[in-house]
Amino acid sequence: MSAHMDRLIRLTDSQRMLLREECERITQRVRSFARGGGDTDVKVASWWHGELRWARNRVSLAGDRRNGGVSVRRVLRGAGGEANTNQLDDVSLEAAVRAAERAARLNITYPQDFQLPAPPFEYPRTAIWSDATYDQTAPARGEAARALIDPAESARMLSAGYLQVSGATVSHFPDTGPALYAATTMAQCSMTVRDPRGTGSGWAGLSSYDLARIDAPALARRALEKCLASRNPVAVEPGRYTVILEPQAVHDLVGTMVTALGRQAPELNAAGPFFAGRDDALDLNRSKLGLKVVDERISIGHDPSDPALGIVPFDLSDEPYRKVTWIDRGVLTELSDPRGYALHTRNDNLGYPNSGAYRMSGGTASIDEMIRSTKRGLLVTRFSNVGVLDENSLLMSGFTRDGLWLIENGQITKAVKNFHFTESPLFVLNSIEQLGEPVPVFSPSAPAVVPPLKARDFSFTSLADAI
Amino acid sequence: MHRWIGLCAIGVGLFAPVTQAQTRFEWPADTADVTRYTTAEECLAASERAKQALESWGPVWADTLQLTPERATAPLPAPLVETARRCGARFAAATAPVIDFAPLMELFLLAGRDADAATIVRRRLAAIPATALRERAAVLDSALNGYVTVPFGNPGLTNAQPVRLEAAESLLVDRARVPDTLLGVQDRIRPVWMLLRAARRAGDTARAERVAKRFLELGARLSSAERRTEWGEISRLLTYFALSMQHERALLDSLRHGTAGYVALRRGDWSKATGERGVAFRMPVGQPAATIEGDFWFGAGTPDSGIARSSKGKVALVVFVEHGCIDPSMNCWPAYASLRRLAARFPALAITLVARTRGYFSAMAPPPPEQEANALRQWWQEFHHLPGALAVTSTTFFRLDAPDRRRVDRPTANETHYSFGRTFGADPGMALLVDRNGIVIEVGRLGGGAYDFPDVEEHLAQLIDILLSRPASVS
Repeated sequence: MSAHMDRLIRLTDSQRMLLREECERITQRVRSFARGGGDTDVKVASWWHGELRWARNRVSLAGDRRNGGVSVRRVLRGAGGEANTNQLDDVSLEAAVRAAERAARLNITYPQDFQLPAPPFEYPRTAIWSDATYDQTAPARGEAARALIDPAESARMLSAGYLQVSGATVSHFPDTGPALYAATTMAQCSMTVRDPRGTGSGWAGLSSYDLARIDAPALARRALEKCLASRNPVAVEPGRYTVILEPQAVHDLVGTMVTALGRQAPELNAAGPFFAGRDDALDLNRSKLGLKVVDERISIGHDPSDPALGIVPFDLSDEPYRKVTWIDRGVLTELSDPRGYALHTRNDNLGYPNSGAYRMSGGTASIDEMIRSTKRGLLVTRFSNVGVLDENSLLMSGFTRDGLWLIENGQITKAVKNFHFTESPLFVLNSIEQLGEPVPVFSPSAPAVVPPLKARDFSFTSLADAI
Repeated sequence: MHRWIGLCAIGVGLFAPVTQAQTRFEWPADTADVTRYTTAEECLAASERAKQALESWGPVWADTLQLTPERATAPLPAPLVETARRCGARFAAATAPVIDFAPLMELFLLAGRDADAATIVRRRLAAIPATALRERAAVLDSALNGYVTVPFGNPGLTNAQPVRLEAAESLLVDRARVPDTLLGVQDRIRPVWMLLRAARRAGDTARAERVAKRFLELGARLSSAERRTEWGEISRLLTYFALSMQHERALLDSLRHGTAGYVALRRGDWSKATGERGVAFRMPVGQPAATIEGDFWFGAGTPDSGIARSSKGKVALVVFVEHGCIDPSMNCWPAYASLRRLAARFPALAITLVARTRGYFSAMAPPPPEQEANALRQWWQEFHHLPGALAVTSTTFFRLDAPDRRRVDRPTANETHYSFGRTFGADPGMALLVDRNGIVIEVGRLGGGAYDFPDVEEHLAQLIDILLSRPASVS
């Protein structure tokens, strides 16, 4: 059996992701194929997904997928060329190197030292690896799914959901600068339970790098309870309501706002929710940095070393994520920017890349307390199909899903039909009455820790037929 | 930068046989198979791919971009024409759907089927109701654009199709029947300016003068309210250019006899175009060029070359160069090629590049001014081989309060001296030609855009030639 086939078998059967030593070895092999001098830059990545999907209480998909990739960049006499492959045998790697060299010869030649390397960075230590996640086998996922489905099935409800454990590695071993290797895991579980007659629906979900942090039975119970409680909703008039937003609903709005926390939109394009206005005297655009943008009880930031907010500690350009407070007690204190922009506008050697992960400050009120203090309002489980209508005010639209209840005189009185809404997270965060304890929410792309909150005058514009 | 994305996006294929890997990175064939294409858009796309295939193998930025009249009439590459011809053969101008007028016209022109292009234009115009004058103007503009515009974009980097000036000019007659009141300023001036620019670039001076006259008539009809709009401002500047083009020979003759007469003519044109007189006069022609200051000087003969220390005695070209153009995405390279060609053509011309520090260079950690200045020298003089002396001013600046912290640069002395009011700020790429007595003769933007003076390089070359050949006794 050839060495190539041996490699394939090892990858498929015994190894789901490339270890650091293997990434280094691949990098060295790629470099050994380079001809004609110049520089060779190699990035090696791999990923694995173990997933299980079910619908109508029956598993509809279960599988394991994995892949890897090598990105080769050759720089010959100042001209760069790049090629990618996901085959790790020598023939394929050498073919990729030759392709990168051909591309380099067609490219524009820059002075050899024009693209000077960035200075060495310090990278944070982050909690992103969990053996519990990585070790969950396909049979174990099946068992877990059974435990998630059973409560709904016993109650003669229909459940659908998705359970995924995954892992990924990224590596970059440049000639100069620090060697980068990160291995990360992610577990996510989300499920919907519906009444077979289509009159009620409940949802619950959570994601974390660590499967042990996801209490699957609790999610199953929660989704079922919400479904049962949301059956036979009644229609109430659209309009402005006091709302109690559960943490997932808050994240569905605020998560988009966090991704909009960038310098370039306001400063370069005079646009976005954080553009303050034109400074004609200095001939530049002012952002809202330094201005109060939300309620003073709100702080939003990201600490990569926060165990609940772990992310791969560097971005696509190898730039480190740093501890940052975007909003401090209501005041906008930092906006993200890539290093290039930071260098050009402030001569700062390091920008603030925005991973989208965040922790939002909260309060001490429980959801029950919020309900008790509400004369008339709505309890919202989550939002769906949320889209931005106006990027400058961050006005969004979407609709409520999977559990919406009317609160009257301090008590939940009935399930109500879903609403379309038109609202901005900036308006909501300026209309806060109470805040609860921040908790992790379902956010597989970037972890988030968000509190529930009670806010005034949330705008529901029309009834929605969605359940 | 997005290589991680690329890696993660690699499709499933990890287990493909080894033999596939050996052919996976072969270049695809660049012969267009047009048999399956059925629409004009598909044929145009195929033609563009043929052109891109040619360009990718050719020299990318060699100084072969001659700004000569021949360039505008050079034939398109044969594979491109052949692709358009074969693919377009299925479309007959007399019967093809008139709704496809725009892509068909372009396809016919690429294939050299000018009569068919005219037919499809005629059919499209015939389909417009007599009262739909705006629609008529729009179609005429599209047709005119097709006749004078280089296909697929950048005229600086590719061969141009031969522009069809006669066909384009014939459309202007019909276009003039659309009342001014139906169209905005931009819509009125743009097609005429595009034709004027194309005629000028093609070296068709008689036609350029004719179209310039038409443009001036158009400008004269602007109302006072229209003149105050953004496009009114632009039209005034273009009017000035048109005036200059209309009597360019007279201008050049006057310069041969002395600077004073030439300056008077240019100032007269400026006054006619803008209405500016007296202290509000913003045209720098005729004004004394200030001595260039620099904290760091690089290049042959510095700091005494050109007007570095003294503006007397040499014909000089002062060019402001800027950091934006060390970013390869900013295409200043045609301007650099212009500069190199001028230097090669006129060795006696004293060229001074004027730059400032910004506190950064490429990905380099914030460098001290001397290191940044040296990097700029490396970029412009070693890599781009720009001629002349390079003066770099160490820029003074302040910072906005935290948390903004942005750096705000103060104007350098050079920028202040060469601002001449709002219209001619010391922008990147601005070139000023100065005579032996230190008087500004012309200002323009090398590698200029659609609304700059067309063919600045050739225009400057004519002026430089006169200034260098003028006896020293003439002033």
